[in-house]
Amino acid sequence: MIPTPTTLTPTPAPRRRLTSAARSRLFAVALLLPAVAVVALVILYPLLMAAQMSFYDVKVFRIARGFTGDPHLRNYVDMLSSPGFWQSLRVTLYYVFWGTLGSFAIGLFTAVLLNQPFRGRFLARVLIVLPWPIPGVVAASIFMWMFNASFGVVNYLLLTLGIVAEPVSWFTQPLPALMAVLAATIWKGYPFFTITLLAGMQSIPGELYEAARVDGASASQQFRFITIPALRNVIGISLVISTLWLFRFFEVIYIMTGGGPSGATETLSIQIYREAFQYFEMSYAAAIGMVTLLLSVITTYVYLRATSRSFY
Amino acid sequence: MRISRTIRPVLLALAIALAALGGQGTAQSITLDMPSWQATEPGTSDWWKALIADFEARNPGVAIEFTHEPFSGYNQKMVTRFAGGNPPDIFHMPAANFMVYAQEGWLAPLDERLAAADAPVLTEWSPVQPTCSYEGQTLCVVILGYGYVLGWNQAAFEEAGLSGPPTTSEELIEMAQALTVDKDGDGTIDQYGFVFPTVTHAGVETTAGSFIFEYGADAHWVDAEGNLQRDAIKYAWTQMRRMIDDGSVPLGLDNNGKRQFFIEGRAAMMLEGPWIQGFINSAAPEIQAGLQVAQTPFGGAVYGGASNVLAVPADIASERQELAWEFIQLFTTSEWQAAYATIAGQPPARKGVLDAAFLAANPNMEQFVQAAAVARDYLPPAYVTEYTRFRDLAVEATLSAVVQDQDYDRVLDQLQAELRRLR
Repeated sequence: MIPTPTTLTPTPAPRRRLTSAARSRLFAVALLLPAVAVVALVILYPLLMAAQMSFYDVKVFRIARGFTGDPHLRNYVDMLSSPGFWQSLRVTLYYVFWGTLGSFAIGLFTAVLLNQPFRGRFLARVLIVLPWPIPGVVAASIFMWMFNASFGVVNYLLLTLGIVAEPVSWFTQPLPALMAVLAATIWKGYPFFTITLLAGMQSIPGELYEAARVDGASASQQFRFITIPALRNVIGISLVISTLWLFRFFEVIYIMTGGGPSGATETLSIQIYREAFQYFEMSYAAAIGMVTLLLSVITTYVYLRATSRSFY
Repeated sequence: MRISRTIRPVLLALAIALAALGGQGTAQSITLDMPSWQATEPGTSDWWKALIADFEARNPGVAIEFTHEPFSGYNQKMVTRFAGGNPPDIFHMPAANFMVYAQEGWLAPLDERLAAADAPVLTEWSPVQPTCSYEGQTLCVVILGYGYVLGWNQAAFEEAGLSGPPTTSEELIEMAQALTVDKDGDGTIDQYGFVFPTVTHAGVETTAGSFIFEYGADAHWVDAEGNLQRDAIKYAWTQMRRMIDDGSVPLGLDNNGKRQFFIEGRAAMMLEGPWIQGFINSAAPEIQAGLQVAQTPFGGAVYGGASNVLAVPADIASERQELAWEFIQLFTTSEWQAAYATIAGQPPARKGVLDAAFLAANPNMEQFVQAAAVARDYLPPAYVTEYTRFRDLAVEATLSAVVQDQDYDRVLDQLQAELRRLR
């Protein structure tokens, strides 16, 4: 008997059910979406707008008017051919390097100090981190008085100790002005390193030091071969944050010197402010801003590459 | 139709309420917004408030909200407001920032209104009124046209056996040296002969400009083609550097420090605008008695220009524009111009409103008026539209040459190159 063909009715495909892991991932993405949207709105959008602006001629930006004319590279050409830009770049690199190094050195020293048990440690911790929450405006005012040529405590000490024969006029000469600004910057910035490095030190297992002592390692060897390598990641992140902070640091320099004398303390952030809000050359300021951004990205990459190896 | 006794009072109340609302509609009030950095300045703010009160009395239903905005950041705030489409109704601004607003087309032309009103601004006004012109249009009215004066401490001069004040920069340098003294012999200078800012500050350009003007009748930073007037600038820098080399000038002060030194009796002379009166008034009584005002010691050449101006924003309702213009008209009347001297203590922009008796009784005001009348405009002819940037370059160049002892020619070459980039 020939079998009669049966009518095949299509059976509905079984509904693919998401695995538990996929559901978790989706849920995580859903939770992240609002934050991503906010970041895109408050960081990415202005960033893209600044990048776009750097290719136009905008003196004062008006959203309603938007960008007019054809995009061009004139702002970048002008910038790269301006001696003022190169001087600001040199000042910025010098300022960021010494500012970060100084803050890091003092921060490391104070972190080591505060990691030791001693009477009054709590009070010392409070005093050492005190500069961190002080507003930049206040810090700048304090240091302006300290470095005042006529009444400043710095000149008083230098004269009393016989280091200088006559008062130093800190804000009229390029190098002293930069040193004064760096002093204020380092004072304001070192507590950040103190806090982060101290936190890192306290997470290093005590057994490592005990084993090193049993093996006869001196204090300096313990510091060099245990403390510093164990802190590598913390140091890396702290350096990145501090460096980025100094790239955009503004109020202390602006209040103390306004970028002078003779551009000796005019960092890129000061130059951007002046171009945008004193001379109203928004597009040119945006072009300098893009270069500053690029520098920050490169610096971050280099730091993270150098310090990303894990100790444990 | 009969209306029930219950409904009648309800209808009556409704009618009264409607009438009241309607009444509000007919007597509509307008509030004009007028920010200023002078809203809390003693003297000047009193004059503004009195002027505003008079305007409000003449225009029932119109009020002016006179608000204080700090001078630092004032221009940035105003530019932001204009760019955001929310300008003030009556616009008070520093004259040095005029070009930003003019170039953006934010200010209403006043020429037709000035002509229609046969306004005194056209014929009897400060010689620096052309500061308000841009591309052939008048966009503002000068409030204060000033000339710099010399503040000098008569008591210090008498103590040093000098008969002041100086009349040339040579005399200034000699007297400054004689007035620089260490009174208690502790090795620290207690009184400097002269004081000017020696850190990055607009006052550096003002000082250098004053000396440049002394060099010749046409002397300025640049000529009409934008070339530096090198001999005049070198002369000015040399005179300034001589005083620094003599130790007659304290180093490291900005304009505020300069004024503080003068009113505390720690500097015997300084250059300042007519607003010096406010600082003199704030000095301690025993020092204030000796503080005098004279013409600047540059052989009759006076550095000056427009200080601040009033304008009508282009992007506000025509009704508000008209009221803002009426306010400016009131400001230009003889009565309120004279009051600018009597209340604010500043020389009025309108000529001839102060009588001889008043000037005789107020010798400092006489000096201010005289200086304003002969002042040469500080705006460099070739860089009027780029003045702020020009000034900053001139300040840094002057500091390099005068305070940091750099070679004049090298500094001037660098300055000229920077200026060419502007043009």
